[in-house]
Amino acid sequence: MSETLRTLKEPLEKIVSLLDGIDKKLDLISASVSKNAEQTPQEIRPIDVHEVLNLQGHLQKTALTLMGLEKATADQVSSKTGRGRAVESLYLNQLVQLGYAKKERVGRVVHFSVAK
Amino acid sequence: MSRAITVHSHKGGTGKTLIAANLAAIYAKNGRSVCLLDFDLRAPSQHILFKTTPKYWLNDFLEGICDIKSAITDLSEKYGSKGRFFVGFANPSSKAIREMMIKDRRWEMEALKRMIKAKDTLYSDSKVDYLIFDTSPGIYYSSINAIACSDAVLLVMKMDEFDIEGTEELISGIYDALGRKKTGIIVNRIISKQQGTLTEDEAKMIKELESTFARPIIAMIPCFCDIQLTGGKAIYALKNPEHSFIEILEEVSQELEQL
Repeated sequence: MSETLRTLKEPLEKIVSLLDGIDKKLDLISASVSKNAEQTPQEIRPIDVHEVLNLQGHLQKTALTLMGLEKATADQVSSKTGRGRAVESLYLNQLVQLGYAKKERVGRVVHFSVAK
Repeated sequence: MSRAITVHSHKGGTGKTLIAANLAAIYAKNGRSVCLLDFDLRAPSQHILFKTTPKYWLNDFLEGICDIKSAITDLSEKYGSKGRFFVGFANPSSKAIREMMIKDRRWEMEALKRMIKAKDTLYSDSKVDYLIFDTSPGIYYSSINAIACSDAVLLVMKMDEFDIEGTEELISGIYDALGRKKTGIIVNRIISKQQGTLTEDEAKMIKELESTFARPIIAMIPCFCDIQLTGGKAIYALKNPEHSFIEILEEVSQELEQL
């Protein structure tokens, strides 16, 4: 009997340790999801020219370009503004955080859009 | 490279309409492809200067009734210009003006989107080199939308305290906020001791305003009585290109390339 318990103890401890790890990871995922939910507004604010005036200079060009395209990738915005794709990606994400744009992922491509 | 220029002012009666129309005519005469848009939707005037009644007005384009190409009229043949000369007119009927005045924020947002797209169409399909907006004075949606679409602003003012203070506020409140929009100032209708020209002292005094505005004064235009007397019935760049008013605007057209 004690031999059987000894044989089971090791895999059981491993299972408990794995479950503990999974639990910690779930906590992290849960925290990250709720943080993102706070950062991404449910509804995007319509952006007009007076709202554009209140944006920082570097975001104005991106916002106006996205308004013209209505829905675009960072690449498409970049080809209009002449600034780098990575820079436009950063600015587009800032517009998302400010609530003026939303983003959606289709496969590997991220599309940004303004309110209709 | 194509450029969009807004002609704007703090107050009315500074001469924006004549300057915008003649500047457009100068570019077209010199072989550039131009599109002049009457964005003074509250007090349209360009249809009077060009004596044209189009099938579609700019109002129709902004409402989504027609596209931008249907809302502009090609006047190249009428005026025998070397470059293409398109003009988009605003509807002068009181009903249309009233309708434009009660538009809400969402409508203005859609109007701005339409205009940004239309700019691309005019540049790529109609091969426009210069897009010129003639706007309403002050901070109205249509004017600020035009400024947001433009690469540079020509700010037209008169030499009075109302205009100097108002212009200063426009620069700090709007142009600075819009990514330090490239701006050139035209001081127009200057009453001088010497009719038709400026004394050295007068020119120096006006030039000193540059430090107040922190923007270049790219032209000082004396008050030409003959232009006032015609009451906006002629486009001098086409009818009387030798006139001093046009000579000054020729220089402005070149200065704009540097802005």
